[in-house]
Amino acid sequence: MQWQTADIDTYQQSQSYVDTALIPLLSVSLGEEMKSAVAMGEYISLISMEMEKQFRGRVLQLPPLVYPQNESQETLLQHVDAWADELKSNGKNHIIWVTADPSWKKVENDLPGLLLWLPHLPIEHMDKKLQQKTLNDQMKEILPQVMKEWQQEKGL
Amino acid sequence: MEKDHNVSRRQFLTYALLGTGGFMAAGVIMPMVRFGVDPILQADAEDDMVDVAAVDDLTDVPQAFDMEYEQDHGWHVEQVTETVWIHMEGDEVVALSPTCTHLGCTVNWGTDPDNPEQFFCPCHFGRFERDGTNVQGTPPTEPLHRYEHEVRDGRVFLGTNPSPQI
Repeated sequence: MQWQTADIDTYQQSQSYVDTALIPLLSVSLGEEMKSAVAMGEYISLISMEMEKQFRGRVLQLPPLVYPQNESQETLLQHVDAWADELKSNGKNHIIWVTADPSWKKVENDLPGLLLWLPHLPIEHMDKKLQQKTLNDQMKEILPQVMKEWQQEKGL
Repeated sequence: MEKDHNVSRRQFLTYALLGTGGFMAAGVIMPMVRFGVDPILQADAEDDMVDVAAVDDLTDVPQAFDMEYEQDHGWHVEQVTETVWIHMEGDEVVALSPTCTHLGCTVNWGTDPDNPEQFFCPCHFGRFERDGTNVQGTPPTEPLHRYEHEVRDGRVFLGTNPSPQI
């Protein structure tokens, strides 16, 4: 389900079925790496939309966690933990973080929930058909990872 | 000599006035009538069906096909791509929507290793038979929605609005 009033009504009626939050992690930079930050952000947004479509009955897609590129790892982890507490106290057993930022890979074990780190594909240069196909292929790899996360009854 | 005219000056003026007046009145009234009867003149909406697959490609195992069409939102037209599961049941084409009737996740054919001959929803393990019927004891409470279809020259055409099967 999306972070939209129309979907939130459905969410509130069927809360017990929706036990997973999906949060994109996006780094922002206006310096040299601006272009790659934008491309990554675009790619991760498309992937999250696709995941929301596939899993909309069990996953609530939240607004992305956006941070400046030079933010320290420590501060970020604190912030992430605060999200996790909020979600846990509202009965969400699973969190899926989606990102293309490689720095998260290093702290994967400290992150509550499942980290889906996806290498950025230059999807913005593709035509619509190829774009959809690439996303579908990517989804085929994501599906078993999410299923595995759901098999651990107590995710958080 | 003047009297040889068979149209008098008065008659000529009357005709001329009636003629131009008539044209002007028609110019005003015709568009109004046109607006009034517009829906009757519209081309039949019947051809809203979309070419999706060749009948020869279909088997009795459901396969996913992409359905692309343009959705008219009044001011702008949106290009939509949907996935449809299509298979043959005897001679009959069956086209099912991949949207789980429980909470709207996307179902796939045969992805549950324990039930390879069923549609499976990964979210809450909902299952559906090949014809779309929901399996009792799983969360969905109604069958997968079904697309209207028509076969023309060996191609399968589908309507764009799947409707519930009862």
